[in-house]
Amino acid sequence: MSGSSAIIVVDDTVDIVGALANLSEFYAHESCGQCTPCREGSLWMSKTLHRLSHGQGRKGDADYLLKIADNIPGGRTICAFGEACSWPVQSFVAKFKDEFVAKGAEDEARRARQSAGLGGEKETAEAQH
Amino acid sequence: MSAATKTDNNPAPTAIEMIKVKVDGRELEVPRLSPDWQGKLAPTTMIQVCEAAKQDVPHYCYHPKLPVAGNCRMCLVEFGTPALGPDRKPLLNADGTARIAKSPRPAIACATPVSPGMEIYTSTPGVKQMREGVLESLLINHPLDCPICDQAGECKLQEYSVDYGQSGSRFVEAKVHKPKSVDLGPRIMLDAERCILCTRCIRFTKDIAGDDKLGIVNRGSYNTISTFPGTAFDNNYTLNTVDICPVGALTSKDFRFQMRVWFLKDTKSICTSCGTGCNVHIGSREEKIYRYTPRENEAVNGHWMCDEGRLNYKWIQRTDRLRDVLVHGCKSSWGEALREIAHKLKQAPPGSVAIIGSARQTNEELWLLSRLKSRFGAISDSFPRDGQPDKLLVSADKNPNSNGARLTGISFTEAGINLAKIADGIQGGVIKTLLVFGENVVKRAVSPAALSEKETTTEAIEVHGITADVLAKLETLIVSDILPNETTRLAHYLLPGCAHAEKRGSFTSTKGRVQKFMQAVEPAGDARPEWDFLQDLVCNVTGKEGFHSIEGLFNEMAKSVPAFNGLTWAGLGETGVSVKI
Ligand code: SF4
Ligand code: SF4
Ligand code: SF4
Ligand code: FES
Repeated sequence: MSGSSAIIVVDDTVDIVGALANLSEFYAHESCGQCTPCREGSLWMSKTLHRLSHGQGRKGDADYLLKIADNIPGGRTICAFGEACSWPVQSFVAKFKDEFVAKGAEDEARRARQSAGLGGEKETAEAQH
Repeated sequence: MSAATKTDNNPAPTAIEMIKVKVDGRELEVPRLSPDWQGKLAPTTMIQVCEAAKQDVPHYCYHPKLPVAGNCRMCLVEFGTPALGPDRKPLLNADGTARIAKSPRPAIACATPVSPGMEIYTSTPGVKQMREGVLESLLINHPLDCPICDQAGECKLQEYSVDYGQSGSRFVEAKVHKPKSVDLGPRIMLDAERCILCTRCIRFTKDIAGDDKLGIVNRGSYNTISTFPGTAFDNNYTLNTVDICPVGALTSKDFRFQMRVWFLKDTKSICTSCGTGCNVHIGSREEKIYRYTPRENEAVNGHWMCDEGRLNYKWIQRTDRLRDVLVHGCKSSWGEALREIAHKLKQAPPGSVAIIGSARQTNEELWLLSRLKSRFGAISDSFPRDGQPDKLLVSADKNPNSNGARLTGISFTEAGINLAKIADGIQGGVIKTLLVFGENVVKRAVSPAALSEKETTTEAIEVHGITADVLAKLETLIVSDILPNETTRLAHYLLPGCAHAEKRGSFTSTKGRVQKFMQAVEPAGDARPEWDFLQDLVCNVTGKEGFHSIEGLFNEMAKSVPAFNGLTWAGLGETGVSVKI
């Protein structure tokens, strides 16, 4: 489900992480910013998904995403946009969790190989704390 | 001015229906309607009920004197209402109590009205989790620069993070960067990264100050407080936004980086820059004043004060303050000078003494002067000081105590009407002794640019006949003041006095509010509070022992000044008492 009670049909060749990253970027851009959970949560999810879909993922990002998304809906925001931006994350990760975990694990493994090979290349994503 | 303020008495009690609600299991009765931010009756909200129940509900955007915005979501609570059957009748539990249907969704306490039988839950795991979530959201893009932030120590983000937040952060993305050190206007700096976007500053500026200068630009997490491009945030109330900003986003250019707030000693005082008498906190450390902030008083200034009054404190610390008792230009002692003055006064023939007091002096000081006045049959007056009023707080009367001067008998309905007579009396050789307190009598109308820092910039000075040449004709000129000026230079006896921040006393505002203030810092040099040495002088002259405490003096004055009858120093409390003026 895409969030705003709409259904988007995609075939099984589509990268599910990339699709959610695209959707979340849209929501982060559309959030008006009035209320705290949606203003900060929508961009946080989008940044995480951007990282995950650009080779900087972590195995734990699936759970990390769910926790961020869980802080937004359920009447905590002023308008229903809060629900709209968090539901797709909740539903994508619930239905395709293995793909999110696999993507993060793959990135982690690649980074480990690189740092072993290149003598400890700086881990960019985590260094930006 | 007409009768005493209405604000002192509560509005006529109309019968407001009471309803029963529960906060965390504790039942209480609350009115169905309560005053909203404007004081109008509106449905009582959950946050008002929780406050009555002494149950803290953390909040950022809610402020009791601003329109409700409901945007921060910090005040989310869970609640339930009596369950109704299909017949709209309340359903009962087996034990006969009303069955409560818990709402599946939370509500913001700041904007949700209560209804009969409602139960509010402020401490459930769900509520705690929501607060943690909101705090986490507020912190992920926050710069966390508390060590260099002026708000540290009085910051709601710090306080609530400790009380309701989590200890760690799981945020690993890059933070949003926003403008820092933004020069919003002549007195205000903005750090947009510290801003939590509660919009209190916007609502204050629009709905209280009536300026509509601030707004938000950009969307989502990039929201930023801004003025309209090319315009400055500059009205006479801008610094109030610094007070209500829950974080260190808005800072006062005057106070920023000057002092850690936890080092400041707090003294309850009154602003002296106009007759409104806004209640203030003076923040000082080691005998230095760092800031004034408004002190809540619903009968006078609510939560606010004007910028002009707030920043009018620097003169107190000027290095050229009068510090020594001078007799004919030579350093002397209090004992000697007061004895000599008493001696001269006692020898003065009736009608040869004139007293010019100041409506910047306290009630007690003016009353002591009026006792000298009646002892010597002296003519007296004080100086009017008129300026521009505004719609919110600022009064046209730039003296803090015009009513005190009038009620104690130093000046008359119209201050300044005796000045010409005093000038003529000196010219004609009738008046030979003049006491001047806290007024530079030879000063003439001056351009605002030439005013000393002690003066507020919008006042006009009365034109009258007392010039330096006229003063030269006097046999004895006794002057007390705080800063040097033309008149103090002509004085035969110069008695260094105190700024209000250096003494205790009371003022009577334009609306007749008698309010006391406390001492924040020590006086400069040998300076003594005027009431203190005037007591000695009155005692030297009359032979009657005075009071050595401000309490005793005030209570004695209250007995003898009809308008103050019945008042006591202790009874003034922290927010004063309204009298008929
Ligand atoms: S939930 Fe609605 S009001 Fe709140 S920030 Fe999102 S879009 Fe704005
Ligand atoms: S600057 Fe302060 S008062 Fe204004 S919106 Fe930001 S946090 Fe709130
Ligand atoms: S309105 Fe008058 S009393 Fe109040 S802060 Fe301003 S100058 Fe001071
Ligand atoms: S205090 Fe209620 S939403 Fe901000």
